[in-house]
Amino acid sequence: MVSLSELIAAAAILVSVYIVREWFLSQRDVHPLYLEEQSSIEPTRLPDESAIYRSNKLDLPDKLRIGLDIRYDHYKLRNGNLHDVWAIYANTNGGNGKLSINDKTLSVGALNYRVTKVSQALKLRRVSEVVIPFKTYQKLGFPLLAVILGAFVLSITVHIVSGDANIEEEDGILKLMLVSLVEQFVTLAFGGPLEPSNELNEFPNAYDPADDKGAFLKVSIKKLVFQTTVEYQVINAISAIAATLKHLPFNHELSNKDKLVIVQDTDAESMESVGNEIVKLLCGLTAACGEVAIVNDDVCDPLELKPTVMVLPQTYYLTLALTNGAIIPGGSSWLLTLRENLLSRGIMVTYGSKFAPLRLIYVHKPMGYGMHPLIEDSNQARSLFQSRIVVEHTWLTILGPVLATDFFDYRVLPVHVRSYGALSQSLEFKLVNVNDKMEGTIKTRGFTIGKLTNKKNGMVQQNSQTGGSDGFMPIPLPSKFGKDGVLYVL
Amino acid sequence: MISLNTALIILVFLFFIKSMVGVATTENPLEQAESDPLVIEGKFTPKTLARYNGIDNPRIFIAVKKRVFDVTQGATFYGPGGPYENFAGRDASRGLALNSFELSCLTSIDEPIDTLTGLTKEELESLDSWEQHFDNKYKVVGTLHENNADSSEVVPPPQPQSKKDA
Repeated sequence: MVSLSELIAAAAILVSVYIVREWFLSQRDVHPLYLEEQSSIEPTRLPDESAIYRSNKLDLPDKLRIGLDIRYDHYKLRNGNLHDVWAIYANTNGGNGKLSINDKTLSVGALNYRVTKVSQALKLRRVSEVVIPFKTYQKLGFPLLAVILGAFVLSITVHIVSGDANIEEEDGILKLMLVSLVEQFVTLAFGGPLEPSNELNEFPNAYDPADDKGAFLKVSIKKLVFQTTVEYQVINAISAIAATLKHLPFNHELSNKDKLVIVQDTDAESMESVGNEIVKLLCGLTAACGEVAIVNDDVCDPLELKPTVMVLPQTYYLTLALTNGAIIPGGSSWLLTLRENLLSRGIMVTYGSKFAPLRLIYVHKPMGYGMHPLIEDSNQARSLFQSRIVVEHTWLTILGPVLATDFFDYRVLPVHVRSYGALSQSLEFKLVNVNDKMEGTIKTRGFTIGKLTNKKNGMVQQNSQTGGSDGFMPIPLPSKFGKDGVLYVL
Repeated sequence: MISLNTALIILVFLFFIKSMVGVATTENPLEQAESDPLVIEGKFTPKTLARYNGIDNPRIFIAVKKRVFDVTQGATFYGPGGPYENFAGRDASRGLALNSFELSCLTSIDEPIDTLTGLTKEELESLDSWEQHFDNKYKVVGTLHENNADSSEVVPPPQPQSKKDA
């Protein structure tokens, strides 16, 4: 016979456990329904096609993200340009912003002085294009960074070339970059030692509509007789920046409290990373991050820089995760396992992180490549670094991410795919040639798509990725939209 | 012997462990829905259009000058209880031209499509401005054809509702 006191005790325990369980579930970052609807879908579709999908984070459901909405003349809004981006960084933070490359640091004022000098020299010499060999770009230093930014603020095209570029490689960086037209004008800016002795804490930003137009970046890949060139316009950059910044939820956006560390992809073949790295750099400038750092040598450990936000190529991410204790399958310690289990229920534990103040890791992965298990289920790395992870999937002809996993997406999916993620806010998508399972190939259109040119022996070839009459560009990857509005590349 | 109380505690504890420990896998998002709930863009007849009235189907379509607009976004106006609810799922051309919401301005769905005869120049201009308004605001999802049009050309019957429709 059970006594009354025993029953009361049992009931009390039951209630306590229920309360504790509910408290745990109340700690979820977002309600599960948030992740079950990540796109807005057109109500109709054409035969053999899916409906058009767009991000559901847009201000208006049918208006793609196009610009930074910079206010001018009191009430007008404009999309912005790269001149604005540098002006934002140079003129905010009271000149206290910093930029670092590996172990060298310059104040924003010191770099602004050099950017201004370089841009003046570029303008004086009427340079129309700055050509940089890919290998040189991969070892980006301050002189080259100043030249790139100097070109950006003038809307001069920066052209990054792999393979056999017709550029003489002499005297290292300074000579290389500037190419055919160039004399030694960079010495104007870098004549002396690279010390922060000369600073300029103001960057005038008079709006010129001409800065909104033109190609700001070209990427050329040469292999044997074939050359592929992708040309990105200023509007592509501005849209990619806006879409990337707005992908982060309110209260988790990049800000002047952040230290953004971008690890350059040093893979000799990885031209796709160029656009993504430049967009992240520009995002850091636009958000006026307290410090923007670039790491491109083996000596500098990005974690030792104490970043709040890191941008990593997938290979580096895997190395970093594995060397810091992420093991596949299963966790290495009960604490890691517990955090991982809670993550799968939407609860992120950030207390007691040994990697603090790290809060966000961007992982860059080309869309067509297979997914590594540690990327596919990033919860182990999330629980290891106690940081959110956004996996961005890119395509060469599109600037910035095409798909990006949601900031709060810790779901463990019972599917294995090549890529998946929420849609870029600057692009809209549909699938064509769909079968009865609604699987088809991707078509996309929007504001971050560059212009592709293929050449063979110097002759321009017909472009298979040209958009049709409806302006949609094909991405020849078999895919399917999930019930959650996420695009899965099969 | 274990008392009932102890057994209960153990059971509750196990339930808690089971519900909070172990990786929780999400439902497969790629599982096929029962059917695709989206309307295929195409040709409507007065009868097939009538289903899209916000009641029989959550979407609201109306026809203006033989073009069918998806006005679901404006459900406050065109949906049930709205001032223009009579137009939902119907050819609203004459009503818009006359600026009248009365049922008498609508042609029965069994009858041929209204040819708009008898409207004055001002009324036709009014209709044009309504059409322009719809063009600017709503998406065209198809065209309106007579009930006796080739059955292969008309929109298929409505599909079961998805969760998004709810």
